[in-house]
Amino acid sequence: MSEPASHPSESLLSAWLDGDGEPRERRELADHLGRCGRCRDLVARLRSLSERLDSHPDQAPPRDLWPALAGRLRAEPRDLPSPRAPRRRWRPVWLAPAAAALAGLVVVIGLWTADFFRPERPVPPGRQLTGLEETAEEAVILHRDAADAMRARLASEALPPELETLLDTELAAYDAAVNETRAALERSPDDPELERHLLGTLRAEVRLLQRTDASVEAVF
Amino acid sequence: MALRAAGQRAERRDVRRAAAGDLAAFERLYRRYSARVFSLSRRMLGSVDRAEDATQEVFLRAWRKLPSFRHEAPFGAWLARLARNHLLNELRWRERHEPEVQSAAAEDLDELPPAADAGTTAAGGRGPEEELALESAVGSLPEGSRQVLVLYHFEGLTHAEIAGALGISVGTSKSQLHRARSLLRSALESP
Repeated sequence: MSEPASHPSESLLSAWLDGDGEPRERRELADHLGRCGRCRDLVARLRSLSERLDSHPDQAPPRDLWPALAGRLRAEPRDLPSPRAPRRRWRPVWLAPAAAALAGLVVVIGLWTADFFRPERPVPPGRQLTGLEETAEEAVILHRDAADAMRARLASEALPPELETLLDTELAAYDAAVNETRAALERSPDDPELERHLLGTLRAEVRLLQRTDASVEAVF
Repeated sequence: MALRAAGQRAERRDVRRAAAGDLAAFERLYRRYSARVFSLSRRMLGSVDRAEDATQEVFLRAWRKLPSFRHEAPFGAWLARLARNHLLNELRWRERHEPEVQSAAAEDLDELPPAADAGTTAAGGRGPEEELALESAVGSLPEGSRQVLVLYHFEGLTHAEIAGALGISVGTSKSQLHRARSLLRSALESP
């Protein structure tokens, strides 16, 4: 049997190796490979190159970078939540109504964001990744970090006890929702809906914390 | 399995200690992951000098950010992401400020020691010289193709993830990868 006169491009064969292409195109390429030793050989070499790249070992730096790095680290500040100036401890006469209004605001925000706790609720497209994050996993970590930093800030505030209790309740609900979604993700690690739900919950938590922080800043 | 679990526990302990400011614990993490970060930097930036600077910078950032690390991902994955983001930012900065630097040549490959785990040979039975030849060929790829190839083959990212990271389309990511493979194959097969 003579070999075909024309051949697919190397890019097409490379894409075929990766499983890309329309089914019809892939069938045609498979037919061609069945008849063409030259293309089979090229595919074999591309496959070998891919395997070589996938298993290529890491290279250590040519010199030990640690001594210089350690010197820089000793002089480095850490990313700890920035402490605020101490708040005044006196309570003006309007404090009680203001605290009540703020507590009400937290309740409203809490109710508004509570729907994120329902796993069956699809996340609207507008609430998906902002583009600042590279992956959903990174977005989750960034939001978790942001939430942590905000919690630390609020924890350093002298909040009215009723507001503190309310906030703690809200945050405990978020923690429960996050833990529940994480447990579900462990069972179905590749479920994009669960990933989106987790991210949506964290975003809602960050929003709640930001608004609470802004309100505390404005009222007290 | 038990050894692996013990290693993971030791690493988590080191991460916690380093987060609290223990430099010795952080050095153990550095020793464990510096080849990984340096290799990624070397492949993305194409130069040993730049890769050394980038490696230090990545660990410096890791040191700063460790207090907010929550063990939601393994430390290695967190560090790799930190490194990728830093390197992509560096490449963007270079694109804006040093447009004449297009492809970093593998000018200083002979400075490199053998592969980190090349007391034996790499998977596939290849020796250090062949691995250096591959590093060299990767280093001389055009920048766009090299970045895609490194992220796809060495970092295991999908085309969608690469497209998001580099700000290109999925189709461009795929065509850059095929181009990179073709160039690499030619370079490695030429006598």
